[in-house]
Amino acid sequence: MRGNLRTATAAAALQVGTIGLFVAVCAFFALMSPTFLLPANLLNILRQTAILAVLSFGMTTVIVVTSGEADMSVGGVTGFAAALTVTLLKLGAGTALAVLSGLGAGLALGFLNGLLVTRVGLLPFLATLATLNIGLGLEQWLTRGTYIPYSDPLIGLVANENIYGVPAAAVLLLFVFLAFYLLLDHSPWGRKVYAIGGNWQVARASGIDVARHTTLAFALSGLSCGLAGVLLVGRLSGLTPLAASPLLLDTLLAGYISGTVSSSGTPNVAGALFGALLVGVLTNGLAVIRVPTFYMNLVKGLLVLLVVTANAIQRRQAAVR
Amino acid sequence: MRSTTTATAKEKTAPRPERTAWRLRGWSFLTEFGTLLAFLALCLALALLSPAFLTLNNFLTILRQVSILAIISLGMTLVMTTGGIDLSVGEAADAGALLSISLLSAGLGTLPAVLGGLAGGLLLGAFNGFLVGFLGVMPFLATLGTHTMAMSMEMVYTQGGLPIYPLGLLPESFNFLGRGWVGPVPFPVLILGGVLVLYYLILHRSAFGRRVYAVGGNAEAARFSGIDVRLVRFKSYLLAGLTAALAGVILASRISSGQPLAGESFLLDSIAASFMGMTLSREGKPSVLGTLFGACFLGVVLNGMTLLNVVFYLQTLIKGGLLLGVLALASYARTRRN
Repeated sequence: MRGNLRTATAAAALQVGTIGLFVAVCAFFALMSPTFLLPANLLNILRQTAILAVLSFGMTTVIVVTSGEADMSVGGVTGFAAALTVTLLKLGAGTALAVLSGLGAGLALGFLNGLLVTRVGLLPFLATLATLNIGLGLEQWLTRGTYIPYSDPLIGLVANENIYGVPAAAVLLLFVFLAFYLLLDHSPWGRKVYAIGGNWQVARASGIDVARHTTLAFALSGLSCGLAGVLLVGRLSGLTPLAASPLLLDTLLAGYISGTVSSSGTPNVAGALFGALLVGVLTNGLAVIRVPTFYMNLVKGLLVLLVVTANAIQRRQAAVR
Repeated sequence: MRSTTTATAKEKTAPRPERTAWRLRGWSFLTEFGTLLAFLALCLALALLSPAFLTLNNFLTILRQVSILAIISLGMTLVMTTGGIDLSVGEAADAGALLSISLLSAGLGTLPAVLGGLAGGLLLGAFNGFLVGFLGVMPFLATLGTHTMAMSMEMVYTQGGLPIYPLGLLPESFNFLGRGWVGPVPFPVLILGGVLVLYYLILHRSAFGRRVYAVGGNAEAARFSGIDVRLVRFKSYLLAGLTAALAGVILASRISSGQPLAGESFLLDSIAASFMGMTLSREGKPSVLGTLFGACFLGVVLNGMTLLNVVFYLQTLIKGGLLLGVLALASYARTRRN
């Protein structure tokens, strides 16, 4: 009983700490730069964070279902989806076909991840590491390693323009958020995913098809990579090879922050949105106060270690209980 | 924590009943000798396709290239045997290279410079070991954090990625590490031999090695039988960092400079080499000799792609596919054991 209370207190402390960190980060940048709090910049953060947030929802699904493992293939799958989209656009295929192909490419590689984990029996991070390189290879093969410029009016509109003063990307993000929120937190399928993550043996014993729903969770993460890839083509008005690769760290960060900010220690979709915004603010703020990119990674790497260490300690406490 | 996730992955794939005994024999033959056959087939194909492949000169080139990868892979294998992974081996190698060249430029002798380089790797390894062993962070996340931070520090140290060239001539003794010859044998190959013997003794002939296998097999059971799991993990990451830094020093000597981020390419290759070694063992367990074979296999693949002028954007794809195949084979060998 006392152990229970201690775990709950630790979780609450972690929650308050994470939210406090967000406030502190915002306050710091607001003090350091007069431009940070301008509405234009805040809207810009929303626009920049949309891709990351979409990815974090998929990552969160994988973290939940595998009970703490991750999808390492984010950079490669997103890159391949973007490369396929831009290649098809370049070849004269319509926007609809190109977008659907990008989404399909993400879904296919995500499905491959799922099969490798559930049917072949690979550890999730190894399976997704292999897929990462397949995706990167396909991306480099399609782009031949050089920048492909192409601006599609519709994709560009969604990724970069405003609708009535609000970034279209933010509106899209809201819809994707709602879809993931309903799917993961308020649907029978979502309850199965949480059940598998909580204890897969119990889940199997109660009749849940563990392999099938785990595969679907990985496929969903792949699909969110596909969407992120399409948005990336809009953001970059084409595609720079390997532009998606740095997203892995940010996505992992957002996914695990989601765990520290939820009361149970298990990530959820709202927490992922919070995590993505925190990382988005950090990235934007560091750029606004002109910190070079390589220092930025130092900060993010440190943050990753902080978050996953807190997570590990929390888990161990829960296990001791 | 790790052991339960390993069990998850294993259990989720309920072994499918084989239909016929004939099929079973075919499969186990393929998984046991598949990589070996693939290696022989690859060598044969390369010998037919490229006249340059079967020359003594090329053979020595492959050996020299392989020696650096193999040394890093041995450290990776040790960490993998505990059930973990080290995503920061590339940065440990870079630490060895950048620090040793910098120290030489500062006027230090070969021995202190090399020791300084090794200390850099040791430090990264200790950091990983502390996170994984004592704080209980999942290995791939802990070492990813180290990887990111170390890479960032490298960029800061080299002012955004400028190679570090030595001031003046490097001492002959340092040059010898990566470029020397002892009779017909390149010196890096001799270093590899030494490291190989050491790792063989550590992993297969010592009490520590048995503990490492025990921790990797079932950490919980190891703990109950009185093994200090935390210390075993800590020491393994420490050794992996040190070993990778040694490889970095050899690399620096070979190219007479410190190239930032040069080590990153070894990460995937060293993982693949370790897994390739696992496919050779009957139980799908990592081993020192298996890893040496894996490194040679990869060396031949990389050499072959260069000889046949495979464009770089296809090389990633080929390596990714190869890794996937090897992972699947190793995993099949492991499920067969159970």
